[in-house]
Amino acid sequence: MKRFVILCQLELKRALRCLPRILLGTAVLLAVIGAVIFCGQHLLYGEQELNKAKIAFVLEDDSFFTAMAIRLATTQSASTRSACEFVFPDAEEAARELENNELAAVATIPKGFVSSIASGENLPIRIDFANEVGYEALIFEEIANAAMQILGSTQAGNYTARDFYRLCDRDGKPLQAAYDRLESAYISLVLSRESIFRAQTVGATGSLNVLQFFLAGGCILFLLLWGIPCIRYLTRDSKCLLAQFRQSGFSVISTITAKFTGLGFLYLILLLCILLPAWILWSVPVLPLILTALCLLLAACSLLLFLYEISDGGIGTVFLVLCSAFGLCLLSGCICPLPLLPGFCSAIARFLPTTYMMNGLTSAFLGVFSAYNAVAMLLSTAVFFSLTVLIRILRTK
Amino acid sequence: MRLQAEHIQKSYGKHRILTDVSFTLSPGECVGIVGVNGCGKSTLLSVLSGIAKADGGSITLNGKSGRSIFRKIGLVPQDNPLIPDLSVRDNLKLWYSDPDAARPYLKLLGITPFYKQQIRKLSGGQKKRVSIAIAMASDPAILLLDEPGAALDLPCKYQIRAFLKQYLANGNSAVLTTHEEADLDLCSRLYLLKDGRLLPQPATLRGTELLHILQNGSKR
Repeated sequence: MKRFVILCQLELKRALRCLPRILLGTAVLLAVIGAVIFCGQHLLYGEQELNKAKIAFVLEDDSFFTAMAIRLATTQSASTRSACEFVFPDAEEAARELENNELAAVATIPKGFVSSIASGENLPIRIDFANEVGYEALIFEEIANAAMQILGSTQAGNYTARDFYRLCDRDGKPLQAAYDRLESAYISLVLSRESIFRAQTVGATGSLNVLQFFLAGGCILFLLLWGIPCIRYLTRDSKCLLAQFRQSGFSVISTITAKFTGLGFLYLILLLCILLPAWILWSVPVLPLILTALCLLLAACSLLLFLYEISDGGIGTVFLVLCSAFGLCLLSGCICPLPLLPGFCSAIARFLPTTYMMNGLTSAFLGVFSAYNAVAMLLSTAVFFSLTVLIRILRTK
Repeated sequence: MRLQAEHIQKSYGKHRILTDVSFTLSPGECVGIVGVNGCGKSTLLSVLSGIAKADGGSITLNGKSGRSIFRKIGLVPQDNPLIPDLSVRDNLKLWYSDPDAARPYLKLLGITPFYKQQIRKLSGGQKKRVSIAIAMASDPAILLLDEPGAALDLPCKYQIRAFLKQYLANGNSAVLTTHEEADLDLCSRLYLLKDGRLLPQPATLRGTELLHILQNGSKR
């Protein structure tokens, strides 16, 4: 036990010795990430300023209900409103602005659109995208689907009424009159639910605002990528040193636990630096944040130890950590919210540790400690720790 | 202490390294093992030190077997089992339960001048001396050295040989694998490791005869 304590002390000392180089590597990592974001922004938006994406609705159908429906669809999502600006030009102006890339998309609502829904004809909405378009295409598709679902709900009532009237042999003029009354009644009732969204926000980022979401996702991504500057500390010990440990009676579990302790210490320093701004900026309760941070630390440490154990410690490890970090974060919804990703991502996300890390941190930002996500993170820690031990045993057999 | 190895076998996968290795090491003896690169010298020392498990055969120390006998056997591997980011003092602290126990070796091996320096900053010879000090942590009665003079300067080689002479003079034993003829002067017996077997050779074998033995496995 005493020798194990000495081993842990020396691992901490070793971690501290590597800290200056790790900090230098962190600065390089931040510069690289900043450059990627800068280039990515230019790739997505070209010479445009990073403002809201401008989307135009051309209303060929000038009915009152069409305008109400479009207004509902464009105001119901807080995250969409934060990213998109909606304008209502005429057709010529919209076409000109679209060609000049001043608009991200133009949706043309055809004449008789609302009545076509009521009658079941369902005239399509034409959507034209600009040549250079980025994520706003996804957002706009979401709005369009939402709008169609809302307006389509009126059809159910209309069809029911039609069938009832026909059953009662009340076809012709009485039926048409019923249509008109139902149209105004249903659409008014449906659209008046718009008021719900003044009190509630619905967004792809859930309960967090956009900035909080990207800070949380960025934290998780950075936690994993930080394994790259730590390469000097995490590179596997030489075979002869591992053999010496074995001969002297240090078990594989004790040597890996000592390494885990050293890495955990480094991560503690990092987490304090990242989460302190969150605490200051949003006055987030401290205890849930600290408890969540500890679970995050354990999960990230075990995952990185595993990645280093299965690789050679050189440039291959760097690529493995890079690809794993981005892959895991993307599939877990840390980079792009899960609702915006294809359906299979949600199925995969359930099995990824980064999903629970993200959910746990999200809860912490809201001032709540999520025991469910904490247990999941601890379980993930145990799994990756065990895998690391197993691989070390197999390798040194 | 008397070390006896009988019919040791060791394979890595399908590749048989040691076929049938048997020898005895008496107290105060130094046995030299020579062989071409890749013949299994390091593997043999790993098995004798307990780091690697033999696939067959037995190793006894004073007639006793089991994992506990390896505590009295120290190994100085070809590569140095050192943590580069720590100092010599910290590296020794890891292996010596009593720090004072390391002091005699600091002086004997000439480690004192660079005791507080980081391993990363030491030369090959200095690292080798620290490795020997680490091997002595368990106060072994038998020391196994894998090419102790490899890539070292002459003064360092002399210092290590002087240490070994004193170690043997204290009634301890050693097994030495080497490519250096000068190291063989310490050895009372010599073996050639060829095709996984230990072939006894005259202890005075040197020069072209030794070269011929290594190349062809037998005398001219």
